Amino acid sequence: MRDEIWHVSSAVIMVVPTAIQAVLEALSRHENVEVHGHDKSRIVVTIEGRSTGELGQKLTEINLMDGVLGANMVFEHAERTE
Amino acid sequence: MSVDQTRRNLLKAHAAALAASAAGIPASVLAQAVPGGVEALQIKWSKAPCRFCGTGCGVMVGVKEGKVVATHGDMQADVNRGLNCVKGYFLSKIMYGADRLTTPLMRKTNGVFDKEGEFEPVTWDEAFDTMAAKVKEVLKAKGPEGIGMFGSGQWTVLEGYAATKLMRVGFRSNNLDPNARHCMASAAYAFMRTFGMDEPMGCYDDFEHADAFVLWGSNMAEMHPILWTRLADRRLGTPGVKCAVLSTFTHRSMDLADIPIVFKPGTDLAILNYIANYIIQNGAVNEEFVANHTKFVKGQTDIGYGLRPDNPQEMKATGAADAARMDPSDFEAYKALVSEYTLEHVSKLSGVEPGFLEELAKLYADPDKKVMSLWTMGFNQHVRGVWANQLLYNVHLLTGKISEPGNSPFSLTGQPSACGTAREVGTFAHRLPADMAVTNPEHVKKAEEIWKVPHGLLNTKPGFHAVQQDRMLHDGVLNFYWIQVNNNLQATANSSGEAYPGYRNPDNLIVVSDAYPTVTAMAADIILPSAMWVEKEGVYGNAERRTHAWHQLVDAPGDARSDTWQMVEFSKRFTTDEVWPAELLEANPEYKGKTIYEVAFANGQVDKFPLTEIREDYGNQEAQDFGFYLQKGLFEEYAAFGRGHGHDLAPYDTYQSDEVRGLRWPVVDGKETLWRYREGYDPYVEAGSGVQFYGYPDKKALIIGVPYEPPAESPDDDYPMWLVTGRVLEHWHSGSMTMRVPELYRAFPGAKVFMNAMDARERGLNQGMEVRVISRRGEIRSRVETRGRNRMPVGVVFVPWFDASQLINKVTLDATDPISKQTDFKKCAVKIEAV
Repeated sequence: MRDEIWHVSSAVIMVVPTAIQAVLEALSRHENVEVHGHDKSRIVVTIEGRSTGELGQKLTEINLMDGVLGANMVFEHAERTE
Repeated sequence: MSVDQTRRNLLKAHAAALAASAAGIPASVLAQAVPGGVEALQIKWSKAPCRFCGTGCGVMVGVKEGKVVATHGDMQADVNRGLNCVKGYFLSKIMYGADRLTTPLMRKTNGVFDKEGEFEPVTWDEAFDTMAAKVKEVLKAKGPEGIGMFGSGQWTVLEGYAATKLMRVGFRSNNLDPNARHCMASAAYAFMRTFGMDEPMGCYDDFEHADAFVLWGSNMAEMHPILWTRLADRRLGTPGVKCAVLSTFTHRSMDLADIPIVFKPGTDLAILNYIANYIIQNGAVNEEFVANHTKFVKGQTDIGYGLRPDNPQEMKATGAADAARMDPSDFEAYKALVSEYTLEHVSKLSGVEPGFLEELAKLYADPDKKVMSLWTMGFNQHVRGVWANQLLYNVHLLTGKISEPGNSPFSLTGQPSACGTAREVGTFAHRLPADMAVTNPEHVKKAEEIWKVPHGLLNTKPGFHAVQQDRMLHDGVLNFYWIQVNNNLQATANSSGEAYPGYRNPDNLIVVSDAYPTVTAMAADIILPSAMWVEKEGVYGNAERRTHAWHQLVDAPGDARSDTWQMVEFSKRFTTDEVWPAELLEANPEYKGKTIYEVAFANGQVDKFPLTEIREDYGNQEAQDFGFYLQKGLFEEYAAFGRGHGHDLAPYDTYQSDEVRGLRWPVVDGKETLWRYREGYDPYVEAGSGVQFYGYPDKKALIIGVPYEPPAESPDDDYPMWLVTGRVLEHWHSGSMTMRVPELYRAFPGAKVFMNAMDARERGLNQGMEVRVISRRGEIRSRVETRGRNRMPVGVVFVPWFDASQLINKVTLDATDPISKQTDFKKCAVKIEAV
């Protein structure tokens, strides 16, 4: 079996407060995105994937979602799966 | 066996806790984001500032087996506190595009240089010999005016300083200008005119102290995402905080606006004068502050548009010859001037609802509201950009809302070292380090002393600014031109009318140093492969006066070399006898027969620090090659210009230490300065004075009276729409780095024409349809976007400029602010037609 890299990043998403439920709902439809908590305007998520590219692409998508003011990465970790 | 699910969950929880911590959401974890698992992958982490915008975020750069493999936001960096925007996230990929340049290339036919030939790989020696022969020929025939260099706000401080020495000391030419001319020259001129000293008085800490934010023509949500996050955090997290956003179209930053204002292009000048009028009419002037710390001037009017002098618009402009003039005035005259800017008049002129204008004016007038104003290209790329900057300072000065936490007129920058290199080092055609000017005899004398060169060496005539360089290449006045760290053929306005014919003029030799074959490189005659970002040791200066440094973390590929190496090595090919005037050498015989390398670099100062001072755990190609710690020598000689009079920098080794994440100058007694000109924060302000704008001898800032004047070209029957250009979240400037990151390329692969659906319907156009964008200068083909992230008012279209296959600057107008010489990329007239 081919070696694969598993990547995980966390991101903070700033949201227009009135849109937070809609954004949470939209995020729940994204594969590999997990919501870990939120307050009235900020959501903490982790994003998983097979490459940094995949993660970054997801971050770009989230940035452009309706109700999202901005989304920025915080942490990245990668390790090889065997 | 797969990664254990429990372990994955643990890592995810750890990641989430760090994110919560970075965002200030209570969480218990405070450690740096380098977990054990990463060590297992044998990654070495080092600090560096991000390579993209002027925000100056700190990133941790992960290197494995000689390659940058990862980056993440630096938890210890004050600027971004661990956050990393989309572009920053992809930093690790910008150096590894498939078409990276790794060897010098020269146009040749049958083995010899030929401007009409094809690019062939050559050695550094062959490239430099060809360049040196041309420089010598031009200097002999025309003198220093015939050669020029175009640099960048992406140059490191050290590179910009090497360039200023090569050009001004070596070749006695002031034809040195940075692409920062296109970016924030208006901001720099306005600082100098208003305060006698460049750069913001405040800093990013203002974000956490302001009660109101006003964005003047800045789309921070896409262009400065990390600062936008700090702003949004304050606005959403603190009751009563307000945000006003002004623009010529609706963009993503408007999502946060309590006061959204879409105004007609150019009328921001009138809105600013209306606010001043409102402040005066409503008794909101801070009279004590105005009396003690300001004085009034009246600006020259009808100053033209920086077009060629034979342009009818220029010939008609009565004030064009003396555009920068300011005459003494007084409060009553100023009050009379702004009194014409009534709510009714300005609302009509700008197309903005009176209610919104009044709300905006109230933010500034309310003495209990701390206001942070932010701007970038909307103000700076403006035919009255210097005025726009100054009119905003008027508002802050009238109310005394300046130089204290939260009260902050704040000029953002677009490039990572626009402040550090273009402005502080002084790589503009008229500037010397530390805000000094080539036209000031005292400044010139001081520079000659620090540089240990004979008095009378330096050229005291300002050189050609960026737009003038294009025109002079076109006219065959400028015959040798070296472009470093930027993609000017894509960036400069009216490119097919001036720059391209200039580059291809048979009299001219064009050299481009770059990491990738940009459109500019491909239009050159010689291409030199450059090292980028952490492939070299460097220093950047961000928008809040923060100087930060990094080490060389990886080697550049192939024969690619840093721009510093290129310039210093090139200087060895010239002797003073070849390039300095004979009379000067007769009077100063000790300089005879020396190389430019010896007088500019191996001068006993720049070569003072031995190789033993270099960190053992990092490489340093240039130092090893020249035999001394070049970067430290350049920095310390440069720092001598600013120490002791308000521009103090810390010792080089302080910036390079592992603990320091940059320091905001002036750094006095090891302490950085957060707010300038205010007692208690700034060590240069005398005790008991409260506030001193010490850039001017009388320590007063200027409030200027100037009117609204219209843009250079407005829509008419033939070209009925406004064209605004700019950027998008995914791409940085001309896209030469971000378009090579596959994920960013896919996210926004081609430029589009953002337009109003009614405008589209009127022309029989549908979403996605191919169109021609046509001006009096040229045209491009693009596709219609009526639903995207930018929502255009009727009569205005927006086209981003990152896409090399749609060169929108063939269409734009090369009108500039006549004072700053910065191009207005935001206002010209076009028509849109179906293909």
